[in-house]
Amino acid sequence: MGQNSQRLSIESVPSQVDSLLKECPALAEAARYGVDIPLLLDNLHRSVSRRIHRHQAALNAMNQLRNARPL
Amino acid sequence: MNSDFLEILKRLTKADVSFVVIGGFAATVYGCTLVTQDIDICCKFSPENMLRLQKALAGLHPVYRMTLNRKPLELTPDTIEGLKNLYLDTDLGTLDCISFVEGIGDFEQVVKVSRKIETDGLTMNILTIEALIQAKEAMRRPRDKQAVIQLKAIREQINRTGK
Repeated sequence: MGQNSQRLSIESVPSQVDSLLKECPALAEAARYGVDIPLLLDNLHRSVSRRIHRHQAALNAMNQLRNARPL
Repeated sequence: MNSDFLEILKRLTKADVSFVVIGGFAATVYGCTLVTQDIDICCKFSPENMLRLQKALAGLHPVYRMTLNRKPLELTPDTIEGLKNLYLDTDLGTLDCISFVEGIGDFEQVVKVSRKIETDGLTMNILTIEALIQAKEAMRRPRDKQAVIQLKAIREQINRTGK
């Protein structure tokens, strides 16, 4: 039961995105440009605070990688 | 040291600096997924305001990032006069302060197309999503293209869902 509902929710993501893309021309344009639409939509469901903290974590990780020494 | 844009903004707010968040960080606030390396603000370049900004950054070793020898920030009323932009590096990250936003205008105009947001115990002004799109389009920089496309998609979702 749990597995079935999980499988259903995973499979429903692309169809939800597909139907949104049909209704939303700017979102469709972003998809054509190569924007990761599920990532963008996930971000819109987050609070401003979460968006800022996730951005900061990504930036700090990028900077750490940039400063990494090759072994 | 890791950068911390929120802490920079908290310091500016606590020091009563008049500013509006613009650029890539404002796009992040609206939900854009791109990572920006710096925080851009439009601020009033009056001596009082810029001295407050300098005070807010005290202890963070602010330097002029565009100068060859990365001179420390040392503003005086005389040096502020005629200043249009400040490109700074601090211990908590890069902070660019500008007096004029392309496509919008000077600080007074920018304030008119900004809105207040509250997060993490901080209240600050950021450009409205409309104004942010307008500013990024006015700059005509290829690197802003994806941000504009994302912001238009975000604006569409905001209008659709009312959130």
